[in-house]
Amino acid sequence: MMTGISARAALAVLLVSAVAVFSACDAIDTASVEQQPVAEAYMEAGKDLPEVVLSRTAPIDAGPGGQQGIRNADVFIDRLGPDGSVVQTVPYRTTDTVGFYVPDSPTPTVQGGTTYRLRAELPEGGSIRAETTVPTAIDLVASENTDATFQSPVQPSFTVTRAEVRDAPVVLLFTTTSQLDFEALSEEELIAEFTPFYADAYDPDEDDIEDFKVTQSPILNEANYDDNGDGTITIDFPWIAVAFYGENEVAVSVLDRALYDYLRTQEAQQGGLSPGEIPNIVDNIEGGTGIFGSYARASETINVGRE
Amino acid sequence: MPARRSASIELPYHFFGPVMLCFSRLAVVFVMLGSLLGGVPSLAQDDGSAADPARISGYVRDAETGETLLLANVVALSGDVTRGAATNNAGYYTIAGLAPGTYTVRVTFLGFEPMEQEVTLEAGEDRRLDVELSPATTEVDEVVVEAERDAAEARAIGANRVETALIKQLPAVLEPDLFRSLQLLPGVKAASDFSSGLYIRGGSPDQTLILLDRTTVYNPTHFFGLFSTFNPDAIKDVQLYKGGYPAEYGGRLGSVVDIYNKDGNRRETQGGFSVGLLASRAYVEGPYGRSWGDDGEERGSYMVALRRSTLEPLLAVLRSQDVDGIPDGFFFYDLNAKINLDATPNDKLSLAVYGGQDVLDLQFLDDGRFDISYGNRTASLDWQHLLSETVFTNLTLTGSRYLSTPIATISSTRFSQRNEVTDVSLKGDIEWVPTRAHTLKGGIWAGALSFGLRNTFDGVETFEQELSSGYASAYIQDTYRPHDDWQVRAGLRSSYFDRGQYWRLEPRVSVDYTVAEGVRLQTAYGRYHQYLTLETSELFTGFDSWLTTDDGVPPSYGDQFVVGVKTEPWTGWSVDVEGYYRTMRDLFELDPFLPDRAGLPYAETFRFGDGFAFGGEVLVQRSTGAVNGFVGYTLSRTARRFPLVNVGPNGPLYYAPKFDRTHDLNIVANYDLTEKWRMTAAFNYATGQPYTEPTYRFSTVNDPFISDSQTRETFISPFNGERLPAYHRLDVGATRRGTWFGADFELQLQVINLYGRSNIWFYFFETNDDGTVERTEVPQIPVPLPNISFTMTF
Repeated sequence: MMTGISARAALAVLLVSAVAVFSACDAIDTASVEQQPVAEAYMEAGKDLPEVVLSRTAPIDAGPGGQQGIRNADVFIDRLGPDGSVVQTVPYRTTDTVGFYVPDSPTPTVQGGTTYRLRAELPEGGSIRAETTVPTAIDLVASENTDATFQSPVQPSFTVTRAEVRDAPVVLLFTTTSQLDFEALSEEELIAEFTPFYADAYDPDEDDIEDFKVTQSPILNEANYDDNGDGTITIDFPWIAVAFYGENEVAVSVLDRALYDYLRTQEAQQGGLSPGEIPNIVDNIEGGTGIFGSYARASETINVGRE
Repeated sequence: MPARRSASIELPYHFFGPVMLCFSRLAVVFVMLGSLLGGVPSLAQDDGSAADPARISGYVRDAETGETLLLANVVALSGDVTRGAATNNAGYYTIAGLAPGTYTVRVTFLGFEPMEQEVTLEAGEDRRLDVELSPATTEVDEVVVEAERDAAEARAIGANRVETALIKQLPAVLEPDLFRSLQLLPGVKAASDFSSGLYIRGGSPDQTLILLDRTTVYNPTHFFGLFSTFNPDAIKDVQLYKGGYPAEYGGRLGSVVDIYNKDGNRRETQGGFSVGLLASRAYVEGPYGRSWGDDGEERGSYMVALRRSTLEPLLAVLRSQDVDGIPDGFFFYDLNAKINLDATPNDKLSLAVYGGQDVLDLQFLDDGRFDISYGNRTASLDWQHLLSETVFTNLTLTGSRYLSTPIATISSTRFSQRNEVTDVSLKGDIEWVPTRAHTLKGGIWAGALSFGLRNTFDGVETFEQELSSGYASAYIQDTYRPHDDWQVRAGLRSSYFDRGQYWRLEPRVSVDYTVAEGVRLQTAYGRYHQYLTLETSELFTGFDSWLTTDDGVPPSYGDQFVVGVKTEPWTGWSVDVEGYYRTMRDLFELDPFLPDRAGLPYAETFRFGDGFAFGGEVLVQRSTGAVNGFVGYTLSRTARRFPLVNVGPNGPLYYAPKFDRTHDLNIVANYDLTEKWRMTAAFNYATGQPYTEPTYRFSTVNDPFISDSQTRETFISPFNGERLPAYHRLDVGATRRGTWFGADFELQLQVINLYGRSNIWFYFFETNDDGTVERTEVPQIPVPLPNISFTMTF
């Protein structure tokens, strides 16, 4: 056994070493963020080319109106051919609302299965580019129990054609839009039309009742639903999606890769990771952020009666 | 028919044949090693000190209860010759390589009076020397000091022990809690006041192997994470390996908590109960069976400990006051039972069972309901057999089952999940001390694991995965003592997981060098693999789900490097310093960005990443005197890297996860005010945890999937770039001891968070209609929280 080496000296050496190693090994690096342009446009198969909204991200402490629209940008949407070449270019023009751009007439129709490119040259320099491939159109081929009693075991169901989506899983998103006249009906009258769960969830002091007009499902894989083997799937409609009795429009949307990535990562900001951890979104905007996405949609109106 | 993931159910792997084959091969390896190291047991030679050495071996027990004492120190002294050993996890020791002559055998254990006995050994003699130690009284401080100094094995690198008495003394929310006590040790962190999860040396809770009587426990929490399932009345011994753990353990990347239940009092029937504000517990233990010999020792013992929440009266009062969010029903319970039998002087059998359950029925809003139930069941049948005085064997059949069945129902729409883990295994270990210089250990562990995860939505199955897999591992380890001051422990573990057919080798080595009296330098290296991952939330453990490797999902692995100094610089004091660096590769966990798993191949439901952790720990401990306790400090860092998180220009960057804390200081002090009064305090200071403070935001205005009145809000932020305010909290307690109607009692008065520090749990950011962002603080325990309990022992 060696002697003469004091315990305190050994401790001191180890402590100094530990601090040195600690200082040398820290490889954690937080990715920086900065203000950037935001592009927003949603293309629906079979509908007119949408408007494009350009703005800038707002500092978190900017206060009301912090997200400023971008004026005088040169905005185009190109329709690309299968080989990636530009088949058609649609120039956009400004509108009375700052940051909003619409196609110069005539407005072409969005074609399912086709790739579109958004281009924008910004007045203060910089440019934005983004691409989306529109899912092929889907059609409603059958529906059942569209006139049903709320929470009845016999639920409304829909049969829709399957869509094709490039470079992404086939995912669906349901929206249920109440057909009540929110302009004409008073808040009390609308509250009376709430289904029980939403009636209890609604807080007049905190919520805007119009926020409940549309309910949205999570993103759902097509594999959740019955494959009929003939190119269609059948979807049973869950009662949780109904916020108001009466007529509701149920829409099934098939999302492209950009919308899929944007929505799933935006939802993760609401608590997908540990509490207090907020990941950034995945977007398809080069030179900025936002969403330039597309979808195909089929819809049906159902009537939900009280129990 | 709904489309679904095709279930790949397999019959349980038929493992008993391979296990026995493996065990027999291991015996052959032992014989070969024995030949190399000095011959088979009967021919074992000391390293030149004796032609025909003698050996001493036996059990060390508590004289009052007959319980075996684990990691007690046994030393044989003769002149300048000192030979020592520690008892193993069965309380058995062997000292080999003793020259014929007279020795003073000294046995010490923390909290017990040392025992000395003279023995004279003949050449080649195998002396069985079972020893009993009497519990020390508080007056014999020096005794305890010496025992502590000698407890070398208990202070192996990366190892800590927690005394059951300390667990019961520390102020605690609801109930004394083992894991809360472990969280006070350096290197062990808590995620929050509400989580008993163990974050050890930068690892997540699933990186710690939890063993109860050698059986894996998969969800060791009650109250959805608030505290752990282990009833302190039932616990005999807890060994924590924070890192660099030896080859006899495996299956986790980081650490091991090895818990042993009491065997039961072999001398007299004893019991007790404890009534607390929100939970109560009771236990009984005692001897049974006829004596083997004329010593009056009973052949067997039993122990039963029961604990149950007693929240119902409080919940009823709160419901009568129309307090929101009060469940219709909530309870938890756990039961520990163990029975032991000495079948022969060389054969001990024991059967241990554990069962615990948490049940919650909660109505929320007008049409919503949660029905949540989860629990563990474990059982182990253990056979200890002495092949000879120097060869100790242990064979254990274990079973463990975890079942979680949360159900939510909203507007007749039902969401359900069922996660089930069943693990049946056979463990065999053999320990042989052929010479003074070598202690050989080897073992096998093989079993069949079955994991099931099934989700339904609105009556339709949306995801189902049934995985069955056989697994097997074997290890061999030699503890080599070339000199009194040196100990080298080298081992090799090999593991196989049938699912994906992964076979891995895991070398482990540690070196312990006594530099000077009371100063030990230690270092260790090991490679570790993990075939499981836990999907959990620090918010709520009722949804915990375990998942396994498979094709396309390789096991995680990592290397650990540890260096340390263990010292006793002053009488009655110990100072331990350790530094560590560890890697974590091929980490796999369910992809949190995956909105739906229906129809996806199993491998595509995961994300894969890596990480590392490093740090330094200091533990200053005083075990004696009226004022005793410890101070633990940790300087550490841990990082993770996963796709889509903290993405820089060239891809994902390492980030600090929420449980990373740079500085962590714990002070635990006990003060024996009088014989009847004891004061206890625990203080914790820690760097605030990382969190994400949004820097920019934007709103969408044309989103086709929400109401026109709504916008979709997006934050843009440096991921976990900020730190919460520092965490600190002081808990205090007072214990009044006495006798009442001839029975011992303890009255405990405690206050958690004495000065009402409102530590931040996390911030919640919400965007108002006008675009301003509001930050809401979600606190941890924000106010002083009193607790009172009354315990009687009869």
